[in-house]
Amino acid sequence: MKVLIIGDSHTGALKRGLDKLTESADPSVGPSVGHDYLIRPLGPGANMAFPFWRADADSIEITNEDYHRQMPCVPPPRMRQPDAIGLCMPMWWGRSVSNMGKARVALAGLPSGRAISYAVFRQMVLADMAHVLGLAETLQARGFETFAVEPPSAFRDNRLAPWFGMDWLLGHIKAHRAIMTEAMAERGIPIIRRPDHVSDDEGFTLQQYRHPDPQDAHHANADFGIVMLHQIEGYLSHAEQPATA
Amino acid sequence: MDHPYRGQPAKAYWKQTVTPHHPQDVPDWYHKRFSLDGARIATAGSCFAQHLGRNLREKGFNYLDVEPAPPALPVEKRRDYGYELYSARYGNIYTSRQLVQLIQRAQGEFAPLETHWEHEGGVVDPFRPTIEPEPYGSVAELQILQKEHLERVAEMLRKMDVFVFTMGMTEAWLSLEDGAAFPLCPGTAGGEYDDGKYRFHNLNSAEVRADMEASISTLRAINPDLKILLTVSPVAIMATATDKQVAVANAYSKSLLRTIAGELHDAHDFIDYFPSYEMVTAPFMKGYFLAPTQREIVPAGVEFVMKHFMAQHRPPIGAAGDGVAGAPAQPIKARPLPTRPAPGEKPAAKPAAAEAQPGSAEEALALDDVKCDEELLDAFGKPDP
Repeated sequence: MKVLIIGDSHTGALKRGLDKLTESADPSVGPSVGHDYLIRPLGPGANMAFPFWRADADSIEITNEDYHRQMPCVPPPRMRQPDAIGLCMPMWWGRSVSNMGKARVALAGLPSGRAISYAVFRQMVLADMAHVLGLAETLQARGFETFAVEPPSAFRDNRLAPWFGMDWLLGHIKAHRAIMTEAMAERGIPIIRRPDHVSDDEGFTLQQYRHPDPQDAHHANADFGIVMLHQIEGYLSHAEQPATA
Repeated sequence: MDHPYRGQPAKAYWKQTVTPHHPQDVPDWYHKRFSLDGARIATAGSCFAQHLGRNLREKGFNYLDVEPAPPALPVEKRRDYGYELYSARYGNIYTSRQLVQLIQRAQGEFAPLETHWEHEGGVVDPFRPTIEPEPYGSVAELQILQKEHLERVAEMLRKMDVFVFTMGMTEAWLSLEDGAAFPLCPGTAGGEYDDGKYRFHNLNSAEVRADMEASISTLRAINPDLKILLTVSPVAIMATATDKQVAVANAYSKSLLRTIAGELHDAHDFIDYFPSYEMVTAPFMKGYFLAPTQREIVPAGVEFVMKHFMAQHRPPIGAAGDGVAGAPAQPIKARPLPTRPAPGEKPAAKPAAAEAQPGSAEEALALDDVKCDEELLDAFGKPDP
């Protein structure tokens, strides 16, 4: 099965994980993957809140200049006919949380900002994700098995936590997850979840999955990528099984 | 023989001011009583006040908005969610009773017993039930947002130099328990109508005058230099709860409010009156600015009214707000990404900011974008061929 995974910078952990699984002879790294993966980024997620693609009858062109340099169209020339396409972008909470911080607002009940309603936050999240959701819908409508891949939750040393507080950070991540889960369910697009064991009781991603760069407090490492690839493998294996009467 | 009319200017004579002119060229509608230059202006009132507020904001007056929309909320959604309608998110304030009680609630002097109305599986604020199109998920959420809102209203009362209030109607729905005034009849946008809990009351002139005087007194106690600009909404009432025909009931409301506005103007030299009501509804205007419904005002009517307002209150040239007030939050725009190395080129050194711990929330908010670019370069190197 040919699997294309595209998205924001969190595709980096998946790529590192795939490389580690492929290159390592150490069985403790985990079972190798059984599908043919191509994992490529479009670019940093910052501009995914704005129009970055357009579809015509034959293709889906990436229109954002920077993203286009990474990938001119979806699917890209290197994998014209994937059997499944994973999107590592719809579940990224970072922009929405950052938008809350920049506006100095907070969901009602959370600290560190002027209170706004859940409904207003929902509108902000859906507006931020409008183009990503549109891409997911379009891929699905064109017959590609489409799914979303969750990025890590925040790490405990997230840069925003000292300024806005842990509760503020985790509260918005949780709300974002709920809103996007609902949005994806409405579209019939499955989400490959990060398993519970990668997070602590509060919801922070465990430090063992932290990026090797000590200055990078928000990307995950190859081990997180491996965990998520195994989650994807599990989903694809299930999806491949013929339906029983 | 001399008499007082002899000394009157042309504008005092119908034959000189109205008769010879096309209705839209009738002059001398309004002469300002005080200047708005540099003043922090807040607006509230019936729905026509939204036009005033929007124009003041757009024309660069120092418009106070104490509950601005988060920039990431799409512009086309903001008004639906109660943002950018007035200087705070109180929604329409139709009656003088609502106004005086809003001020009291913001000052902590009145806590209505009615805290929430159930609606469509959630709850709404009885004092602004349509401020958002969906009900809140819980009473707790509503209470937090209501408290926040009233704190912001209190902030507005402290900061404003000029309060523009558009009087809307006299028909009020009151709680039998504590007299709390609701903007809408219970049961229409939340809650359940109950004769044993609510009553309809058509405010009389003495009551409106007393409400307005009480509001003015409190506002001037907060800011002794506060100036007030009154208008009466030319938009007719949608329905009446009296036994009168709606146009008759409308005439009662509007003429009473117009009278009180005039009395207040005569009684207080810090109160101005702007005649938007007359500009739209004067008989010689022949309903020119009324929409086909004969109720709402067409955009040309708003433009006509604002032209006369701006002729007296010149918009500041190239002005913006002072940071407290001002233009609506600008939507977030796409930004150029950091420069990438050409294929084969070694990545540039990491930006200095990435090496340091953020010294402010702004720095912390900006740093993750830098990290995203680095992560992509590290994990994937050059772009896909």
